Amino acid sequence: MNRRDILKGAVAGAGALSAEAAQQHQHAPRAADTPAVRTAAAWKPLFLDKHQNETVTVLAELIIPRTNTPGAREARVNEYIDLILNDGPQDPSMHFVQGLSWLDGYALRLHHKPFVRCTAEQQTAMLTALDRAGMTAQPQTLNRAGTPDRAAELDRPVAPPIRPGGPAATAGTGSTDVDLAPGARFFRQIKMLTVSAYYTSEIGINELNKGGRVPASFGCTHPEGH
Amino acid sequence: MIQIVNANRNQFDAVVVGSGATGGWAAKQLTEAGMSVAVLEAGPKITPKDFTEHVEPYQLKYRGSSPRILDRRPVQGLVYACRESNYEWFVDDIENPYTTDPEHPFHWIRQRVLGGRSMSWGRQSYRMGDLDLKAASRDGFGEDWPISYADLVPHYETVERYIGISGQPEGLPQLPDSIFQPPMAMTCGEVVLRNALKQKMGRTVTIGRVAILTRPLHGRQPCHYCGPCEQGCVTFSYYSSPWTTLKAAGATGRLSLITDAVASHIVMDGKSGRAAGIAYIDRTTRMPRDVRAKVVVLCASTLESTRLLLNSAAGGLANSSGVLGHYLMDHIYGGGASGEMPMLKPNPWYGPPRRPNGIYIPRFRNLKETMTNGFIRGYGYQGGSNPEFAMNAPGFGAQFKEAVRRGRWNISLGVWGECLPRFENFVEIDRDRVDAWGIPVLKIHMQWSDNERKIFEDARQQAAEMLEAAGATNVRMYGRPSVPGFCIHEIGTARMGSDPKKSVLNSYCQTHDVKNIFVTDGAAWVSSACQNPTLSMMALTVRACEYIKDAYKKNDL
Repeated sequence: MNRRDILKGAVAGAGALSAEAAQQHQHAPRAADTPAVRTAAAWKPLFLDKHQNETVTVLAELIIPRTNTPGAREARVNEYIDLILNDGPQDPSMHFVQGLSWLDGYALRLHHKPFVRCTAEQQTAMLTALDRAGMTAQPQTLNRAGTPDRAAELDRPVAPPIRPGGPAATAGTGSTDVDLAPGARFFRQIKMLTVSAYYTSEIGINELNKGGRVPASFGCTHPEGH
Repeated sequence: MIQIVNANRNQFDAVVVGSGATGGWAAKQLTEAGMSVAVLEAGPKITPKDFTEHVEPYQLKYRGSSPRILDRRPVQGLVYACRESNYEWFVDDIENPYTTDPEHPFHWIRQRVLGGRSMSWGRQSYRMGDLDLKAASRDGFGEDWPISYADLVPHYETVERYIGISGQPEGLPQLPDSIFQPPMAMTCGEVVLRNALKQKMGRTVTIGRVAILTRPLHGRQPCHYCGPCEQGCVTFSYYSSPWTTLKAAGATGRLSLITDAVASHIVMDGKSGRAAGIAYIDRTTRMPRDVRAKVVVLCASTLESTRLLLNSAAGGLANSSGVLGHYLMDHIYGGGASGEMPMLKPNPWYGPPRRPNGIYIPRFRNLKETMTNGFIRGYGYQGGSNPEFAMNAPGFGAQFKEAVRRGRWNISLGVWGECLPRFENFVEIDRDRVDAWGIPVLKIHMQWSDNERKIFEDARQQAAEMLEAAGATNVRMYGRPSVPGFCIHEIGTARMGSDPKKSVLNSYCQTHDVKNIFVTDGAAWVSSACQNPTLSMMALTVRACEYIKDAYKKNDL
């Protein structure tokens, strides 16, 4: 399966959104080599279509919002995610776009709107359900340096998305009879990508060190011991 | 930088294959003794301009973890030290294949670059003792080394005085002290663990012994705690061969450094039955070349040195014993226990000061007895306790962001376990595959035995018990046995011994069969101990070079 096939599959899965999405993909630039630093205005996604990029941007900001420091949107987390999806291994990228489609299917089913057009409360409630459903999932694998093991991550398939207008419409009635496992896996994937993108950005590093918390030494300064 | 002389000459007193930790020492010792030496390095030159340890992740296209790494480096890319900014120091797996039984993989991690793996190793440096060197006499498994600790001490001292090891003396027979620079400091969590284990279990927790300076030495500055040593060190505080031993060899005016030289086999002199030199392929032009020398010293890394011998004659050169390629070992690792230290307030920060070192728990199993819980030999731990950001905090949103920043005080201990030398773990030449230079590749056969598995399980249990003894909470055992090779401590396959029927080398790393061939890297090892091996490899090289120097003076090579 090559990347074009993946895109086709993803687009088909997006159901009602497919026409717009297909249009976007056909016009998406192919070159992977973009300058590392450029303005957000000039940026064009390599992998995601406009709707997908919008969804990713909203999701990332929900995961790491602006507080008294900037959030994922200002750190342009979506741009990094798009780059990794484009240049990274195919399977996780395929699972990611399938997950995006699943999320829209879920939102359409509950609220008759794609995810990005739901209210902030609705979006938060949906992510809370997915987060809870994923609580039993395995903790992430860490490598010898204590950072996520890239060989072990993002490698689980996402089940086919729930189609909008499918059987047993439960719109507005909650999510108890919906299998949330595929959405929970997708949420873990985008959360992990958002965390790695945000906390390796200059904005994210400043958030970690805000208040000048960098000490003079890593060592124990309690001469009397513990 | 390194002075290069006589780049076009072809006849040397010695040729050294490999420019890493052992090759650097061979070059230094032999050139300083007046010998002309050619060092062959399969990879390119690098300079401090290639260092990236001060680059921030956001200055890199992929923030340090390029998915491009895995395109041509599916094995090398699994290693934490193989990063976006230095991955070209690691071999291209497509150009440098090896084979295994598909059921029993082996991860062979290699660097082909000036300095070899001395560029990116963890620099943990521990002596072996007689508990290790004479283990077979104690428990009956395998062979003793043909040398004792006393034979190695002067050579350990030579190495330690020159490269600089920081650490804390502990006076333990199972982990003899080196000549130390002052130790790096422990964190609060590590002090808590050290005190608790001393008091409750009679076990020692010491700061990692690491080849990184805490005091100036030979024009190198002490560590400034920037952190990612595997990406370079502009102050040369870390030990790596290009800026220590190779530089010293260059200063004698007797070193010829030949980079991009992929050694293919040893050239033999049919008349004398001795080695005449090394044949190599120029990596960039693919032209076959050779260098001639009176003595050949293989420091190409454990499996590359053995591959050279295997590719140099039918059935393997210097293989009258039949054990060449056999008794391959690596340390079992990849598991341990982790938890949190609730008595300490976390205050994590990003960036320096980052101590490029952890703590070490010396072996405590089978010091007096020979078998515990069904296994012989033992294991040590590397670990640490630090305030860390809680990147895997649950949930999302503002609370998640705050939880990440608030962090946790983590603690973890990971096992490094001894591996028994077994004949069934071996390498051979795969006649069906050649590398990008037309050189036949290795087929590697290695599996853990029950002994390693029992060590691994016991070590996980003990790690959890020790963390609990220190008051840690949320203690969990983690990990599975590493894929053999992945500890990057591969050793054995041309072992030394006093009996030429059971070993390839004598105690001076000289082949029993061919007087002027020496193998001084990890291939020479008889047993694995559980300590990180590089310091001992360097000491063994210095010892071998003392012998070569004497023989050279007596014109006896």
